[in-house]
Amino acid sequence: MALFLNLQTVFLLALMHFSTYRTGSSEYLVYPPESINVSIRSDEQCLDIQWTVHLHNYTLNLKMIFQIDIYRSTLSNTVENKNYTTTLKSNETLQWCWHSVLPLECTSHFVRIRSMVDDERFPESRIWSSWSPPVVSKGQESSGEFHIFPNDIMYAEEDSSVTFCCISRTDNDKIEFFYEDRYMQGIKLSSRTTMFEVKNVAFVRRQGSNAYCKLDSSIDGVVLYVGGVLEEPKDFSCQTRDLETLNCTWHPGRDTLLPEHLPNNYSLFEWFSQKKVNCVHRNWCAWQLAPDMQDTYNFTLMAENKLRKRRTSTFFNVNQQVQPKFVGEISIENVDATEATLRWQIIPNQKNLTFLCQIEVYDNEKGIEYNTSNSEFTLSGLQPYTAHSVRVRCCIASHFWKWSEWNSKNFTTKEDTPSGALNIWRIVEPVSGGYNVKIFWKPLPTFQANGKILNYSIAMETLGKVPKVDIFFSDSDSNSTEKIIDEQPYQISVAAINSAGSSIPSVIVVSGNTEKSIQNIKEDRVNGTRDGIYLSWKPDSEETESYVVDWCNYPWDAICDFQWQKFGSNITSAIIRSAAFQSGVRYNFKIYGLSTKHEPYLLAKKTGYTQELALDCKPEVTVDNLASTSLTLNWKDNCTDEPQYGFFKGYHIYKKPEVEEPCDSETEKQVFSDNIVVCMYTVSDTKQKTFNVKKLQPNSTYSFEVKAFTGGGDSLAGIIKVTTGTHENTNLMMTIILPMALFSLLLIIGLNLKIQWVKEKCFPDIPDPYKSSVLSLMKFKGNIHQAILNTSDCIPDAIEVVNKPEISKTQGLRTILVGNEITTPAYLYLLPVGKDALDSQACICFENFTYCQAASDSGSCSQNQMIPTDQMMSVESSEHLLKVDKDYIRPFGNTPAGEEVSLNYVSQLAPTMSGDKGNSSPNLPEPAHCSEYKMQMVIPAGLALSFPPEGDRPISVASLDQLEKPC
Amino acid sequence: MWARLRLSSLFGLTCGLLWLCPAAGSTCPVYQTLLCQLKNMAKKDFLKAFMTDQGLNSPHLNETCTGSSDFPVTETLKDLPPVTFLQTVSQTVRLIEQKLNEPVFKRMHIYLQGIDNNVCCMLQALLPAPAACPAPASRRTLSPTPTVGSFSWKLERCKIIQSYQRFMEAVGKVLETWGASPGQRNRKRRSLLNVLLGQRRKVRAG
Repeated sequence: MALFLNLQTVFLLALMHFSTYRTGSSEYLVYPPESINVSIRSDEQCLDIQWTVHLHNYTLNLKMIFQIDIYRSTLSNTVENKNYTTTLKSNETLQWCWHSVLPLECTSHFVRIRSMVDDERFPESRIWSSWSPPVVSKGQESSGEFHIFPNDIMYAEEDSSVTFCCISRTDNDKIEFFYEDRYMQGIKLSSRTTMFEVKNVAFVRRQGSNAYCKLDSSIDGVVLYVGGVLEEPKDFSCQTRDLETLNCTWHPGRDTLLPEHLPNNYSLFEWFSQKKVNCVHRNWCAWQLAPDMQDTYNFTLMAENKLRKRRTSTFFNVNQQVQPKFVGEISIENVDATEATLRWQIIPNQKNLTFLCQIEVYDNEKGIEYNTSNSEFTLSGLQPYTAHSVRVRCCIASHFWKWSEWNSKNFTTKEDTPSGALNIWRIVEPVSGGYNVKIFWKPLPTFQANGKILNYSIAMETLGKVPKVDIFFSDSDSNSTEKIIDEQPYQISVAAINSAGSSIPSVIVVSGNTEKSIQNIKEDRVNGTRDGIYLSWKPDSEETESYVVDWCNYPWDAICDFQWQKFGSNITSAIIRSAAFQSGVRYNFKIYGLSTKHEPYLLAKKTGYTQELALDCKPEVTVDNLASTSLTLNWKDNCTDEPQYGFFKGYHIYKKPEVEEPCDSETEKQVFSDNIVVCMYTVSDTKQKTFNVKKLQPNSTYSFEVKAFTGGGDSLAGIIKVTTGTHENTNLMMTIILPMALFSLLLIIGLNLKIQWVKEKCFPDIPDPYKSSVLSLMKFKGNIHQAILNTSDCIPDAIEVVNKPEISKTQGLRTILVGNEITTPAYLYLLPVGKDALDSQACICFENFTYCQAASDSGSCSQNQMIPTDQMMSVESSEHLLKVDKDYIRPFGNTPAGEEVSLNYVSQLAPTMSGDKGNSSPNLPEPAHCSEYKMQMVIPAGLALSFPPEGDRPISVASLDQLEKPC
Repeated sequence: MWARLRLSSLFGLTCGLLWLCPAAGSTCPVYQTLLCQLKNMAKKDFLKAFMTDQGLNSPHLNETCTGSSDFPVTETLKDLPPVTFLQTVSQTVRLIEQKLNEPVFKRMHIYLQGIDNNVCCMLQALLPAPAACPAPASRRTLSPTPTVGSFSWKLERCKIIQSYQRFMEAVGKVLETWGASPGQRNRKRRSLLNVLLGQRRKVRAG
């Protein structure tokens, strides 16, 4: 074989030898293009170039390159230079289409082609042929007509650029171009042709965008349809339901928005069978299968429109892409109380296919799932007399592709005898001669009724000495019955009956003793919760089988909707819930124990609300006993402890001062939502209708609100605004000043009673010189007022003169005190010598120092005023006198010599409390307190004291007119 | 054509009668209602909607929609007798229907049929005979239609609608002169022949 091929090649080469050019010493193959034809395909804007190559038969399958040059308008304007490679075949016309941006009608295009053998067998022949003569595709610029190109309709994808050209009739006509009313500038291609480019075109409307050229009044235009880019179909898949028809679906992507007459076309091509189907719909297509001929398929989905083509493929075995389908409905057979049989038919029913079927059965409460590979299935364990819903779906077991749709059907099982026992309870009310017994029962739930309940049988058997059984029936609609019994206990049995039989009877023993015990049990209050009302009870004896709580849903109604709830013996608390419970309604609960002998006995009584409400009342408030710091609030109301609202617990009194003040310890601070702070008093006694408010601020305004309160809050408020009075001074006086006044009065009275004592202590009498014993000793000549006391007449016990001797010498008569070289201070004491030394009148003492000066120092007035009369006392007094400032005994004649002194000071006044009041001069100032200085008097110079130099005793002499005045 | 139908079979005659008067099977409203409806229908503006839809509502393209109209103008219509006038309206409307027989004008088509039905009913009020409705216009051979959706198609349809609009405006003006009862018209009547002759004279003179 190889030898044959080699010989063939040699033969061909030998033949080719005769068709080669011979240039000089070299030889090569040249096949220039011939019969070049150029035409315009306007719809595609394609310049269709066709040419041939004259080949000998022996040059078949020769590889060649063709170089194609395309010029626009002139041969100097190259717009394309293309190398086109091909393997030549016999008598083949070569063809290549050049897509032009500029419409090909706009101007002439020139095409020239040259060729070169590009075959490995002839490497020496890789020489270009000469260019073919240019072939022209004439444009319309010379037509002499006004045109726009492209004409009429064109298509473009969004965001692409589109080029138009306008051709005028004559040279240099003024042409305007508008795209959607937008004037656009063009590029002059020739004297008659202008090119316009619109970039990034956008979708404007389904009816296309208008582009037009305007030359004077002539208009020529084109409608540009802008569409979205055709997307590649997604999720392309095929499946069959019956192995006869294949259904292929895909997601076409977004709408291209091209006009309706330019739809996107979809087609299916199958490679093995080489069949093609044009799809009617844009997202699915049907394909007829040949089941026995072909299992494997290779499909290509092609999507195309004027602008773009897209394609996608899928390859599959059709037997693995089967979604089974039911034929008709499933059938249900042999239905009894607990069983039923299902049957169905499914396609494709080829023998080589096995299915897996899923069965779901639902009754009112639950669903059960079964699996089977058969086409029938028996359901068991069904609930009697119950509506069931069954549904079935299947898939191919060997290769899962998709489930079939659900095939559903409903059926109802037949009746069975009721299971379980009725839940029964009773109310026993005493009547004359016995008790009225109401027996209640709750209908059996569906899962226990097992059929339609026809009626209820009630059997009443006496437990007394005389056995007696009474059986009667109640309608299926009823849930209670009523019977009057005598004093003896009864055993009552209740059973539900349907067409299949009777339920287990429920038993309860009824006697009057239970109700007698009700009065002895105190009712407790309980609190409600959001869910219901919480109850708890103490566990009872071991014989307690269960507990029962009963109540009325509508306690205020004649038909109170009696309810009960049973609890196991190990439960001692529960939250009682009911949809009928309402806020503000008081519910009463009785808790019973149920003995093993089915005899109930009362354990506890409870009352409470799910949620208390505020009372619907409003206290009317008045104020009494308004004072500056307190007041009394009184109120009247109709607030009572009614079961419609809540447990009435008392009153809240809110004190709201106009000017904020802190709450005292008796109140509770309350901050309302609007940040108002008030003080709250709580009155726990619901019968108390008055309240004293204390610790108020005087002259302040308060708002008081009185509200009745329950666990649900406050009622409406009785409001009163009060302003307290001003501060009570009289009270203060009464409490503070009055006792002080009384004390002062008592003090004054006491002092008056002891005035003599006080006087003696504080204000001793100043000795009256006229009453002095000295005078009695003296021999007065003439008027007493003119009497001169001679010291010689007086027998002094001791005289001590304290003065400076020089003063006495130099001052002469003007010297008040004269001493003989006495260096010590001068004191003059006139000490009585008489028998009655204690008699104050016995001796006159002249003092010349400030009265009571020493009082401030000594703290006692008596020490410096009283002149002691005995020796002992004189010594003490003399010592005391040493303390007196010498200035007070300074002589008032202490003036310079020669000066005429008209006035002289004499001694200070004595207090008025002295014993000689009657002699006091009215001209003299009132004496001040004993501790003060005494006002000095002015006396004429003639009356000035003169001290006659009699002996060595300086004496002090004063006018009696002055001396009679108290010192 | 009517004569041809009469010569054909009885079945053809029946069909022809039904075609002649589309409203014959239904009860016509009273004359006043018809007149009122026709006046209102004559005011319906299709041109503006078409130009807006097609993007022709541009100042540069407005003039391209205007042009000479083949349909009778007000001066011609107002001198026609009522029956002739209504028959002219019917024939013109049917011609427009024929020209605009494209899906895009579906709504307008229905509207034109409504006008035609009302005209037929009015003719019945004027001429109480089933044959009062005008014969269907012969299917004229229309000039080659440009490609649907092309620019030239848009302009041509625009011109047709504009002509229709002008014609209906003229029809409305004539109907305004009509009284409340059939035949009440205080205008001098001329025969269609005279009117057409007069129009021809005008054209020649012009």
